[in-house]
Amino acid sequence: MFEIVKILYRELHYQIVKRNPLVANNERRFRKQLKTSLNMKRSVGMQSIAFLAFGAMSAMGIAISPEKYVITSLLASLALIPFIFGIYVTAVQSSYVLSLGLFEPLKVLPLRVGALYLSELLSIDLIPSFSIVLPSILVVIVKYPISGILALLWMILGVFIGHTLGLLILTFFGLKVSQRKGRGHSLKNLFKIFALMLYMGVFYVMTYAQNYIRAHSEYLASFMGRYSLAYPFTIASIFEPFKSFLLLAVYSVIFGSIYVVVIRRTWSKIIEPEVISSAQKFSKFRPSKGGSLFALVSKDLRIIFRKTAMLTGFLVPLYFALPQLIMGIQSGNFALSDATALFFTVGFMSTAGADAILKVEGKTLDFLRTLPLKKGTYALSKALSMSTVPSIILLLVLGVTYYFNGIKAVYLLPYALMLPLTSSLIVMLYFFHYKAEEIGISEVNFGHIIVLFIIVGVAYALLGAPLVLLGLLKGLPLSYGIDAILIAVLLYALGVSR
Amino acid sequence: MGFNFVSTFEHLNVGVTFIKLSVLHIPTVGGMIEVEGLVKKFGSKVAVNGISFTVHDGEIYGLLGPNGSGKSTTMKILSGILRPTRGRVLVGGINVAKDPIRVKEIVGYVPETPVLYESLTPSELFNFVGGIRGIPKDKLEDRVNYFVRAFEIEEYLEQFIGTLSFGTQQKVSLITALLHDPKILVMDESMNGLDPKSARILRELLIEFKRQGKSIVFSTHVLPLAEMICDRVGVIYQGNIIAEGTIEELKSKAHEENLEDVFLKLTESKDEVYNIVQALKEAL
Ligand SMILES: Nc1ncnc2c1ncn2[C@@H]1O[C@H](COP(=O)(O)OP(=O)(O)O)[C@@H](O)[C@H]1O
Ligand SMILES: [Mg+2]
Repeated sequence: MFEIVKILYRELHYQIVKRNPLVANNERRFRKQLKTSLNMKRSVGMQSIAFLAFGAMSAMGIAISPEKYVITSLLASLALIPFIFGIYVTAVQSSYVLSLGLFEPLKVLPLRVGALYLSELLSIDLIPSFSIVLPSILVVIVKYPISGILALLWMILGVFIGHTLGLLILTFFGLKVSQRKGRGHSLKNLFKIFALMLYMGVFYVMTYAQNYIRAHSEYLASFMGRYSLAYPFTIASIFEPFKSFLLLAVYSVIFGSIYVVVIRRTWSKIIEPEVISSAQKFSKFRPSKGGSLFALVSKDLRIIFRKTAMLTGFLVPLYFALPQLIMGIQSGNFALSDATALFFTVGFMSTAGADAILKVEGKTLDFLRTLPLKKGTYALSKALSMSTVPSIILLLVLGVTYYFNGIKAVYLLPYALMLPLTSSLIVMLYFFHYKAEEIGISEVNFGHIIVLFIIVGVAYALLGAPLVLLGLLKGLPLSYGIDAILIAVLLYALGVSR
Repeated sequence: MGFNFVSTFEHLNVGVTFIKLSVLHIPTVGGMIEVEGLVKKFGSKVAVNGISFTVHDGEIYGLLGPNGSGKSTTMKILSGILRPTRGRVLVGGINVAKDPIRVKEIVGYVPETPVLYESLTPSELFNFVGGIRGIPKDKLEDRVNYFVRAFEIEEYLEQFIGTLSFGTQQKVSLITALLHDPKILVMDESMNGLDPKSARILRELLIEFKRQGKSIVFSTHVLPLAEMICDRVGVIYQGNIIAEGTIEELKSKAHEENLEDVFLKLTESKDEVYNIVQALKEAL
């Protein structure tokens, strides 16, 4: 069983290294990179260590806090990480893995549920993310052994839930083949995206529902206990081991059964994707206008919107924005300063889209290389594609802001476009600053994403500083000025100016 | 070049109607390919071992060789996709090592296996390539419609490429390489997936391109095909060109009647094939 996963892992990373521009024309470095990348234990180990260092910071917070209440709320926010990783890695990485054709050879073998290998393959990528939460859990185990072990189980469950939801997204949205793009195509996609948002919002909805029930019915509230029943807030129950264990069991049974059903469906859909066809009709080719940038960006967007599972990568910011937005709308108070904070959150979190946007090209990178395409143009197109979805999200937020604040909301309009662009340009500079002119995509792992979050964080601190120091309205012009300069510098560095 | 394209196709009688025949009347300045001492290594593995050859304007040059002899590698270097390890490669006067992007501008490269965006439609892909190559809108429209009819893929234009058959994908891949009216055409075993009718049309198309003065390099291990369309062939074996000339020249040099025997003789596999076949017969 594990042999097959090993082979798949090697093949996946071979395909990735093959397209890594940093080593493409240097055989010695290529071999070396191949050796390290194909070494599963080493790769996982290295990444885990990087994450451990990151996780140690949050562990300190837990170590010094005496209140159980503080510990549980810290754990609850930490528990989001394995969960989101689970969804993200499953939805995005598996689309990529399948598009590389990794499972083609398995299709001809007599396997009952071959998608189990997909689960295993992805779990290798999920292990490192787990080491972010590990230090904190260790601290809890030292302080309160039983609760700590429960917390560990909850975290594992979190990855599992995320993975299961990711598989659901993949199976229902990712593994369909419609033969032709119909008229209602964009409408359907819009619907798909909406459904996706619901998926991600469902846990918040559950929490709000609980709050509502708690506020309105003491009887129900006492029945449900003081703890939220929705993951990740369930982790608050660890100090009541019996309840926690019960909840854990219920969750495991529910998601275990969902998993069993969905993994079978995934496999049958991998073997034979659902084909949506419509009557054939002859059509005439109609040329569209636009230069190379337009061609590249519209290609990216088409592919992302068609492979809806990949869209998950871009909706991460939404996951963070939604609670703030809902709270604002519920309280009927969404001040300009709230909106600004939300803009910064969304722009910052849009960095997570890096992975997905770079995975639009798998094998097709070989096709791109046959075209006269400059690296700078390609990198810029990736930045524009990457910032599109977050910019749309921000424009929606701007609409809400307008509803509560009137015309003043317009002050934030430039941010809607500039903040995601800033993050995206930083990301692309990071990945395309190599010397060679060839277009290539280096390996993107979560270590890179974390480094990028830090770099983008520093840039955002720079942009936010004027707002904090001078006040929102007075600080805005300066902040925009800084951002404009930053964007210009980034564009120049990307070599677009040449 | 006052050539009337219809006449080329009339005798085919394949029932293809053409509009806008002016598409192919654009006189093209011929390209030329000069390869001198080309070496390509993948690590210690020598894929191409110092080959030299020239392809003139209006010439179809066939690169013949068994599997793994270095054909694809050579083709990718000619198209600016791979860099040579050593040697000088000029394509249309441009050094591929120095300016691969300009080489890609004038070359149309058709790979062995089509690698295309599966979730785009052929229409979208053609627009994509048109956008990147900066092909004017009306020219793009004419050329796409022309080739789409010639290869009879109208009905697939709005269908996702991932759902098309291998042969249809091969045709789409071929068309994308022809959109910018390349001076030089590099085709790596590109006839493999085509049905006889399309292969025939492609053949006629190549002959027409040749008349326009384009240079075409064509790799294959299907010998009758080479015999039919190539002006000159180079036989490549284990990274070396072991024979070069017109097919007639090669036949007389090797004292063999047909190209297949010439080929087997040159690659020293004639006896080997005989022995293997004998062994197989005994074993079965
Ligand atoms: N990327 C590569 N890395 C290592 N070896 C390669 C690579 N591409 C081709 N080769 C080797 O180079 C030789 C020539 O390959 P190729 O040009 O594809 O042959 P052909 O197209 O004539 O069948 C083969 O031995 C092949 O194994
Ligand atoms: Mg080949």
